[in-house]
Amino acid sequence: MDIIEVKNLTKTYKTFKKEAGLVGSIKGLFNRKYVEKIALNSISLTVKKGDFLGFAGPNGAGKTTMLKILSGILYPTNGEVFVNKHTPNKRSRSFLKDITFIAGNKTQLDWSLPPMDSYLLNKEIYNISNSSFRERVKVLSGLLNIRSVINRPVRELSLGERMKSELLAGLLHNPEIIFLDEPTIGLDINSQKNIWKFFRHLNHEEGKTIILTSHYVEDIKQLCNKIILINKGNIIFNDYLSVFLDHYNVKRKITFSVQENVDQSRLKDYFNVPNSVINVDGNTYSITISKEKVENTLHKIIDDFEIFNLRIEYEPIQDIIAEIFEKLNT
Amino acid sequence: MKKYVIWCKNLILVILQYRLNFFLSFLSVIVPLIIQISLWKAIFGFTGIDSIKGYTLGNLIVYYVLANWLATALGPSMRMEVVSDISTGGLNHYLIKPVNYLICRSLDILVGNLLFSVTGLIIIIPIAIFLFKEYFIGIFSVNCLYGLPFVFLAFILSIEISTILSLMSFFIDYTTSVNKIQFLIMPFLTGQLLPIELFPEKIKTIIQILPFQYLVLKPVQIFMGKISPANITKDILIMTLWIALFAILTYSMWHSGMRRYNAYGG
Repeated sequence: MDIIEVKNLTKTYKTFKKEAGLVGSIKGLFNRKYVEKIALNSISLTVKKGDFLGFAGPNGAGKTTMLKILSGILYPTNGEVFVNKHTPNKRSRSFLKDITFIAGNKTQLDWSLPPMDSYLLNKEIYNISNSSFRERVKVLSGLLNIRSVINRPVRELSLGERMKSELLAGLLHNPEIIFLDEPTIGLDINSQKNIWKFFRHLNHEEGKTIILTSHYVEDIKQLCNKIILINKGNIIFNDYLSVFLDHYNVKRKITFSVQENVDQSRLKDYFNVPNSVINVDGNTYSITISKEKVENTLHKIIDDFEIFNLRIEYEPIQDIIAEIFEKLNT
Repeated sequence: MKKYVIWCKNLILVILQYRLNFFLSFLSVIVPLIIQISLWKAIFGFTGIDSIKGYTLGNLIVYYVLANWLATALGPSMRMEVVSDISTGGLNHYLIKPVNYLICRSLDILVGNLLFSVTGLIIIIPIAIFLFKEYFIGIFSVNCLYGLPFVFLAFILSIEISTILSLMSFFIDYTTSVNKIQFLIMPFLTGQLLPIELFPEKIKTIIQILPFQYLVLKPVQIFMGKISPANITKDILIMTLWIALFAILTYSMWHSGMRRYNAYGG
């Protein structure tokens, strides 16, 4: 069942174009020119209930704009958007109870007050009963490991504690659809892992539909079953992550270590591809080749060298995505 | 409704947390008051006159005590939290919840101003009455009964004007100049700086056409017994029309602004 439907969605921003320098500024006082920037260009997509969808793309690609239109914050310029059968920008009460939007760099919590005061406000906003509220705070604060901090002022909390408190505030009303905009931004690796575990629980155990944008491709790799690549307002890939990896993950990285008495200058052009061998560290080397050549290359390395360490890896997904966007934008 | 009660409670908790800020804000009332009273004492002393346009020194002292106190409660201003919400994307948090943003921010204005005005009533008015008791005889009698519904409507009008000023940030990128202009002009237009009778005729006519006089000038004149009950009724009717007009303007600005809102920064 499609919980989100987007048909031919376009969003343009109108901004004024200012020439550089003092003369440009003075001209701008009397004759202002405007330009239209296309943030989303006739986008169509669907999301099924229970999907964990990740949007990936460079800065300014349109990821956050998409999330804001889906959550009703922005009006589309053209096209149709339906989220759980609602039109988001009408912001009906039943729609707003079904969704939440959590941004990594913005807080809804009152800076001067403990998170619990903001939770009590949200309890009334969403009409949550006393028993449900107590249960929900207990469960979520346990999962997020923040029981000890929810009664301290937000300004005294660390970034990780604040982000987790923010998540609890956004999930108190048990929404069906969760929009996450850069949720792990600025967090250390342990905090990221804890939050990944929490999101997996929401998606796998509670069946929530989650839409995520992130610059950290690792977030998408760890969490999402579907991925959309978006570039300059256009979708360039929209399918399951497994399909993406099958289609794009065509390279393999072989890392091997050789005995010290090998003439290592031979290795530089050994595979007939100039500069294909990289000296990683001391007597350890790596080579990146297409997956069809892996078997022959391995035979060659094992036959011709005394190696004592060998590892084969998939090309990191962030490298794949970076390469795709680099090709598109040059 | 309970959500707005909790909203107000949280707001009071935040205001009372910053005690120094809370008490220092009264200097913004006391210092201008001292300057104004000192200035008029000097003018009356130097010129030797008994009254100016029907105002004795005593009348002016009472006027300024009441005007400055009412200005803290009713003086409209551009609300920087609204400006910030609109320009840096803070508005997003309210748009995704089943809560009315305009009601929340109106309550910010109402609660904040009520808190200061009640505290001012407890601190500043008794001190002023103690220092200038001979001038306050006859004030706060039956006039207060006429003044109360007027002040209630003036609260609504003040919130609307503040909201309209703040919603201009949907349409103007840089609002500092608007903020400065309203900061300089409002004390004139509301009557906080001078009783309207002391202005030249042409300026007096303009001020009398505008709605800002109902925020400070008119309530002060009612408390001082300078307006008859019949004219109070007429003024209440005119205020109600202004309130209706500004409600329509607020609604239009909000809906038009939301179409333009780009949610930058968030």
